[in-house]
Amino acid sequence: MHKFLVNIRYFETPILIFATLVGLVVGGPWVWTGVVLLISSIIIDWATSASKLFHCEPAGRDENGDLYGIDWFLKVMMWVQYPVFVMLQLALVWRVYEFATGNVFGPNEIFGITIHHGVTGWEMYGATVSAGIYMGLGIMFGHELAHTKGPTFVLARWMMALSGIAHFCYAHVYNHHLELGCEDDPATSPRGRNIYKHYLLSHFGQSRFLYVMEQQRLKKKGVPFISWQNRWMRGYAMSLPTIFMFWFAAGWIGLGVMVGSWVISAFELEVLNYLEHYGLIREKGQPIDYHHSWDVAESPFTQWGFIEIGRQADHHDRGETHFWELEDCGAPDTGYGYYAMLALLLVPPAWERFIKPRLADWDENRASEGERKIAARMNYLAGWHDMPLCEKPE
Amino acid sequence: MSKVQQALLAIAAFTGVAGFILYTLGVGDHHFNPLWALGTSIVFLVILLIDVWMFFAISGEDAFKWDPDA
Repeated sequence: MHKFLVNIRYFETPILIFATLVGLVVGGPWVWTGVVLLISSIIIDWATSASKLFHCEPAGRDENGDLYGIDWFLKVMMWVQYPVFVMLQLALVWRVYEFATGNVFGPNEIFGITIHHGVTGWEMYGATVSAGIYMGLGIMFGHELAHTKGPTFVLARWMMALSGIAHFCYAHVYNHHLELGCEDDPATSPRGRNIYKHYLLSHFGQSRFLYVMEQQRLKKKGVPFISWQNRWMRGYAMSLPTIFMFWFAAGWIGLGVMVGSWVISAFELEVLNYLEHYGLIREKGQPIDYHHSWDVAESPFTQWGFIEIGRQADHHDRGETHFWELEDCGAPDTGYGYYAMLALLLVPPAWERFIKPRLADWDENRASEGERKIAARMNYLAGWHDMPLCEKPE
Repeated sequence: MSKVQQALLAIAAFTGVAGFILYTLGVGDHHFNPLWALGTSIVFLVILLIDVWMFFAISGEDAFKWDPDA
C-alpha cells in the first residue's frame, strides 16, 4: 500500500492538467478550471506549509533497500504528458477557432457531458490563461526528461517547444547545472531582482547561452551558423507546428492567444528558477554545495505536484538521478511551497520582506567566508542596507 | 534608457513593422489555406529568431551581469 501511495502521489499535477483539458473541452465557464485550480493550489500550499504539520518525506526505499518509486511506471507517466500537452493545445486551438470564426465545430455531447459551443471574449481569456498555466506547470516533466539522454531528451525538447522554450534543455543542463549561484548562470536571480526582470533576463540569457554554444561548436566543425545542425535554431523550429496550428485555425487572434499562453508558461518556468536559487551565492570556481539551493521539504503539495523538484540540493548534486531517488540533504529551506511563494513573488515588496530574513540567516550560518563577502556587496547593490551584512563595493 | 530597455524597444518596433507589413499584404485573409498558413508561420518563426537575436545584440553581455560596474 505504501508503495502504491508513493507512486500515485506524483499524479497530482497530471490530474490537474487533465482537469484543465476537460474544462477546455467542456467549454462555457469550465474554461476557467485551470485558473481556479491554480488559486486553490496556492491556498492549499499556504495552509499546509504554514501549519508546519506536514514534513514531506522522500519517496525512499523499503527495508531491502529497493526504491519505492516504480521506474517504468513513473517514466511512462512523464512520457504520456507530451500527448496530453498536445491535446491541451489542440483544445485551445479549437476554442480560439470557434471564437475567431463564430463557427461551431465538434460534438454536442461526449460521454454524456454536454459540450458548450461558442466562446465569449471572457471565456477566451479564461481558456488561454488556464492552458498557459498548465502548459507551464507541465514544464517540470520536460525538465526531468532534459536530464536524460537519447530519445527522451529529444522528447523534452519537443515538450518545451510547445511553449517556445526548447533552448531550456541545453541551457539547463550545460549552463545552470555547472554555473549556478554566480552571474554566469542567467537562471540564478541575484538579490534585489524582481520576478518580472528575472523572467526577461533568465529567458533571454538561457537562449543566449545556447546561441553562443552553437556559434562556437559549429565554427569548430566548419559548419555555417545558419544550418540544420544549429540546435538553437532547431529548437525554435520545433515550435513551428504550434505556430502553424494557431495561425491556421484563427489567424491574428490565434497568434495572440498562442503568444499569451507562451508568455504564461515561460513565466512559470522562470518562477521555478527564481525560487530554487534566489539570492544564493557561490564563489566562481568553488564546488556546488547543498547550501546553494533552496529546498521545499515542508510542503507535500509542492513536492508531489512538482515531482520532487523541491529537493534541489540533491538534484544539483546528482543531476541525472530520477526524482523518486532524491533525498533530504539539510539544504536551506524557506518553509513554504512553490505555489505559496508564487503568490508572494508576484508582489516584489512582499517577496523581499519574506526572503530577506532567510537570506540574512543564510549569510550568517551557511555561507563561506568568500560568499559572505559577495553577499555583503550584493546586499548593498540591492539597496538592502538593513541587512546585517552590507558593504559598498570598492 | 538601459540597454535592456533599448533592446525591448527595438524588438517592439521591429515586430510591429514586420506585423504591419504582413497585415498590409493581407496574410490574415489566407490563413485557412494550408500552404499560405505554413509559409506565414515560417515567417513568424524567422521574426521570433530575429527578435531574440536583437535582444542579445543590443543588450550585450552587461545586461546579464550582477554588477555591471565591477
